[in-house]
Formats: sequence, C-alpha cells, structure tokens
Amino acid sequence: MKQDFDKLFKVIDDAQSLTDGEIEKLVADLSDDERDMLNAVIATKRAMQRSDAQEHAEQVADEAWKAFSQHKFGGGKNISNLVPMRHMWHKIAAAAIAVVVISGLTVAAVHGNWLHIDEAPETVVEQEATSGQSGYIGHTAADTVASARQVVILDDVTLEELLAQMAAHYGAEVQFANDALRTTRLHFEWDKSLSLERNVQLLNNFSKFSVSIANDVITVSNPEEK
Amino acid sequence: MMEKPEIETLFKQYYAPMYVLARTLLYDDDESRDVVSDIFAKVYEGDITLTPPTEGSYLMAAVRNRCLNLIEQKRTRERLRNLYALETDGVSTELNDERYDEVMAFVSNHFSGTALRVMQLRFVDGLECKEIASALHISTVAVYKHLARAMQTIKANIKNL
Repeated sequence: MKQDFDKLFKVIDDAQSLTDGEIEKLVADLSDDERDMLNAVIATKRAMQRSDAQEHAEQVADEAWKAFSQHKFGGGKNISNLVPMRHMWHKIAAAAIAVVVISGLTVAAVHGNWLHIDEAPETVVEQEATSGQSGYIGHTAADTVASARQVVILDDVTLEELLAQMAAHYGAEVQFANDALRTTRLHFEWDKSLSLERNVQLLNNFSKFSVSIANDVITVSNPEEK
Repeated sequence: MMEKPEIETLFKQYYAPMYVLARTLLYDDDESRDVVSDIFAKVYEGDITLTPPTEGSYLMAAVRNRCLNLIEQKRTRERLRNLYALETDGVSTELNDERYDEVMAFVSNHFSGTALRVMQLRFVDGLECKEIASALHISTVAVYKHLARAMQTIKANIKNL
C-alpha cells in the first residue's frame, strides 16, 4: 500500500498550531505505518546532515583546535568567553534576547527557532545582551549586535486572552465578529519586538480564524471571510 | 591534565568524525561543536580517562550518548518539527554509516533541480514548508508533493529504511 508522505509532512507542519498536550497525543496515536514513514524521513534527514557535515568536518576540527589550544595553552583569552554552552539553544542570529514570561501563558512557535521557556508564575523581564561572541570552544562567530527580541511563549491559551495581551501592549482594541472564536485555543510565540501588523500576519497562518487590523482595531472573523 | 602533544593528537584524529556523528544526530552546527568540544575539555582535564587502544570507540560512544541525552531533553513539539527521533532507544531509528551513505548516494543520483533543492532546504537547512515555498517561489502544495514523491521513491528503493 502506497504510504501517504504528503499527509505526513502536512501533519508535522500543522502540529505547530496545536497545544503541547495535543502534540503529545498526536505522537502517541501515530499508527505503525506513520511511525515507519516518519523514521524513513528522519533517516533521510540524518543522511543529508551527515553528508553536509563531512564536507566541513576538517575545517571545523582545525578551527576547534585553534580555539582550544589558545584557550588551554595560549593564554590571554577570557575564559568566560570560551566555556562551552551546555544549554539547548536554537540557532539564533540575534545577539540580544529579552524574555517576558507571563503567568499561565505559553505560546506556540510559529517559527521554529525560539528559545522555549516553561511557564513561570509571575511576570519576569530579563534582557541579556551579549557581544556576539559565541562562547564555544572551537567555534568563533563574527561580532554582531542584533536588535532585541522579546518573545512570549503562550501554550493552550484562548484567542481572547492572547489578543487582550496584544491589545494592551500595542494600545489597540479587539473586536470579535464571531463570539465563538473567543474561546479558540492555540499555541503562539508572540515576538513583542515586532509590530502589531506583523503579528497579525503571523496569526493569519492559523486556519481557524482570520485577523485584520485597521485604525488600531484588531478584528477577528471566520476564516472564509479572509 | 594532559600534555599538549597528547591532547592535540587525539583532537586531530577524532574531532572530525565526532563532529560528523554529532551533526548526524543533532543537526545543529553549534550544538554539535559544543558536544564535541565539551568532551575534549573533559578528556584534557582528566574527567574522562581514555585507555588505548579504545580511545576512538570510547569517544564516539561518548558523543552518541551525549547527543541522545540532548534529544531526550527536547520537547516533543521540537522533536516532531525538526525531525529528531521520537524514540532514543538506538534501535528503531539509527542506521550505521554505510546505510546513511547508501541513502545519500541514492539521493544524489536520483534527485535534481527543484526536488533536490526542496530536500536540501527541508532536511539540511531546516526550513519549514511555507518558508521553502517562499524561497523557491512555488506553492506550499508543490513543496509537499516534492517531499512526498522523494520519500516514496527513497522508501521504494532503500530496503528496510
């Protein structure tokens, strides 16, 4: 029987709009056939990553040795800049990150490369500015200073709660053309450094509703009204 | 602590294959370099003791175990989105080097043009399908079709994948 990889890739992409609990259930409910397809996709990705890594491995090793030997034997480098990071960081281009965690809210990723922060009880604002030096032994990065990002991860929140937060932040109002949409639950990563218009564009990636903005009024309507 | 010539020999002999293994499992360049460099730091400082002639196999096993631990710590959302293994028991999803080479040789010989580019953007650069569609000026539906057709062909031709 022909395996439906088309559907599998759509499921993987569409899953990003699900809550964490829904994703856990989706994965647990995968059929043997779906798991078999997924494993084939993973094997293919690994094979291509391996091939890509092989092309650069010697250069990476040379860079790593230069940095390692300078740190351990050459002296003069600030050790704090060369301590390997043990965290699970996604690859980020920005050098400065501001994180705001609001109680009871977590936001799903619209794009993949965000640092995931678990729910925290109270509002916390932390802004870390780094010089752009990656801090890895064996890895140097050009000094870059990117604009600050303020990411709130909201998981399993209602659309009404999310838009109330946004409206308060941007000084806008919210109107629902269909009251039933107020309780739509979603997972969203709200980058507060982006404009309201840009965040509205990102919200329109969800298929369950349509969002528009005009004269500082956010309007939510049924998706067929886009 | 190790003397410089000794750690340098180990570094130059094993860093590259360790990095390749880390990239195979973790995909991310920075994370992969971190894992390998961290292991060498521990070797240098004496936290890891290597016994000839098994240094190579020990170092590779250390990389693999570290990578699998990191994958286990990733949330299910991330594991699904970025195509990390959903299980890390080492049985269901890992292939040996020859099998990865077999898959890659098939990909190189059988796909070209837009299909190959879509696969590179999805599996090497980690772009989502909407981003690929935007980058290549094609529809998202076309991206799904390219990926689906490629995987059907790979599955039909690579046994037990």
